[in-house]
Amino acid sequence: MALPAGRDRSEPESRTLVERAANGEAAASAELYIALRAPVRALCRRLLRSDGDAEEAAADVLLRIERLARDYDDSITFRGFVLRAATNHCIDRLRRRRLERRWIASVAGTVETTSPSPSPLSRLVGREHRDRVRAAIRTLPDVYRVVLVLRYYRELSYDEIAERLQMPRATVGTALFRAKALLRSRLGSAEP
Amino acid sequence: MIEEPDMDCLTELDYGRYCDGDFGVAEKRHVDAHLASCPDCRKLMASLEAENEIIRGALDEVPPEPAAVQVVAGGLAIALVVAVAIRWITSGFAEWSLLATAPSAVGVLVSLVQRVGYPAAIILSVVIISVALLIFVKKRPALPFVAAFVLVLGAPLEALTIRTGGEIVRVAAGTIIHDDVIASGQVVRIEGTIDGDLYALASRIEITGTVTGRVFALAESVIVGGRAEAASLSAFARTVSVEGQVRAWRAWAERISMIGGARTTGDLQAMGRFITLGGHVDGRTVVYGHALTVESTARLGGLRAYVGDPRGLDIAGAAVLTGLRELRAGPRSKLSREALIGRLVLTLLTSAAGAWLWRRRRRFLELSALRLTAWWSSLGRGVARVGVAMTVLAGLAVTIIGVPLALAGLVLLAVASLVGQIVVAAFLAEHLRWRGGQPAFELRLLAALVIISLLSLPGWGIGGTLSGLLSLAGIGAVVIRPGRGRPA
Repeated sequence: MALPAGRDRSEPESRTLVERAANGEAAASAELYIALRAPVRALCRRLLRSDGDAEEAAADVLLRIERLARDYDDSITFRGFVLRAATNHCIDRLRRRRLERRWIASVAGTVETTSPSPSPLSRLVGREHRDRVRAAIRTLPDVYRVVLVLRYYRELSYDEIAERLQMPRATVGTALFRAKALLRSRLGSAEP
Repeated sequence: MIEEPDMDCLTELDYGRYCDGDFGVAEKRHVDAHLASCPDCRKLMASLEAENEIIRGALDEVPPEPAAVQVVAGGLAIALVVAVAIRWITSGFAEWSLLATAPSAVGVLVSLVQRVGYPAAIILSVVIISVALLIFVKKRPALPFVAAFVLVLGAPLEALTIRTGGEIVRVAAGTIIHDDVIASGQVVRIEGTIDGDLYALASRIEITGTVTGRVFALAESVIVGGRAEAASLSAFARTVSVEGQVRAWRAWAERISMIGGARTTGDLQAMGRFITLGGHVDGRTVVYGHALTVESTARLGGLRAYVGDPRGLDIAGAAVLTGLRELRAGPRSKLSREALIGRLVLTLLTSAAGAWLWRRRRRFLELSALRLTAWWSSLGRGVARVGVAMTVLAGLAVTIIGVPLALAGLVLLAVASLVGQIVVAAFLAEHLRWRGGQPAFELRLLAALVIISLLSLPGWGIGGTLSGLLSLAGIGAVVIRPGRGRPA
């Protein structure tokens, strides 16, 4: 309805398709599944440290596609809706690993807010360095990795991140700051 | 949120929030005004923004594939070649196990299957699997799986005829590749030098150059030419012919030959039907087979030969055998005993492989769009439990009794080929539609298995190719890691 007809056809996860899937039509579910497989996997791989975990998490979400279609309300796109479910699922997985205690505690505490010298990150350009940055992000503690991914991959706002991670809004800024500081120190120390 | 600091300069934390668009309009205007007048803060801001872009860039990029030179000729060629390789491995193994197990009860069963013929054997196997699955699955979930695999693996899979006119992968003379090479095509010809390992899948693999690492060859025929040198060779083929110098090699094939002038500086292990040895082997020589001919030019160290045919051992008078250990011929030889153990290990390994696959059933389910039902999960628990126990036993058999380890790889491939077809059948079953009412999934699975086995009949011309492709589709569904495409 809100979408023009042309777009409705071109969008793989169009409203009619979602409705058909919600009504239990297997072909529609399969089409949604195929359309959303890549983005869901990509997100899970960035949020979780191990590829195996990410595969499992993605499969968990994708196998629930029919139910997600039923639960879907019109507030955001279906893709966004599924990616949100995937984000929540990954965060749940991380929490379940008894990291909960350290989850927020690690962010709280004093923050040095002095202005440092130019970041070593800004010197790291080019493909090889991107690989290094990505590898370093992977090794960050869960909460830092997750805020970075939510902010700079999913492009969520501070409010949305705070809601997803159930942390105070002010903590989001601190967590991002800490995450980058940690990233810098890891990349800086690895510098030849 | 922003309290006015003593100076107008914000902290890095706050500039971070500013970059991330976390400031309201009024705050933003205030900061913009300050930035216009403060070069230090502008510098800091620029650095933070650059940093964010770098993080975005790193997160956006798809992680790279592991480094390896991939020489691949055409997608379909790979499919066909893999199918051919699997076919030769399974049939080579079947022949070996047949001649090795002839006197045992299992051997009788296997030879019966062979006498009935391939089509009948396949249909029989599929029906046995299906019926067993349907009947026993609730009581003893692992049993039918194990039984079915043991039966089916004995069947010679005369399946595929490869098409001609395919492509050639060639590493030309003078070329030096300093990396591992994965080569696949109708013909793989290595004339240059590979400074690394070579993994080759082809209808025909010819090595006349040098490979400094290991060679793993799956093909209809593998030829290591006169001037070739390789560190080690594992070949699974119909015929394996070694004419050059190889440090150590093992071959699993119907015909294995090592001509006079060829040299093996390490150990040689040959498992096949007809084996001819004419060259020098400095290490130990172990032969399992139907018949062994040792030519007069041969110089073999530490020969152990177990030959199924009582008259199959033919050693020329001029051949030099040093450190002779054991020569046995006939059905009551050690070969039979070892073959029984091999059978046992085979059973154990297939069960373990089944359990392994089961633990990855998510991918199964995901890709074949199956639904997780109580039926499947009870099967899985049973297979998994038995599988763990059997893996331990298999490990013991390989380490203590010394059953060839290569068996594990072969069995996995053979099982994969079979499981692949079963996965495709399950997928088909999921999508089979009946007019007026849908029968139970189990019945549809049975129907799909019968359809698949009919399609696989070699007599139908396309049957062989189809069978290979079906196996591949199923294996692909199980093993291909999503997110990684086929190499270009």
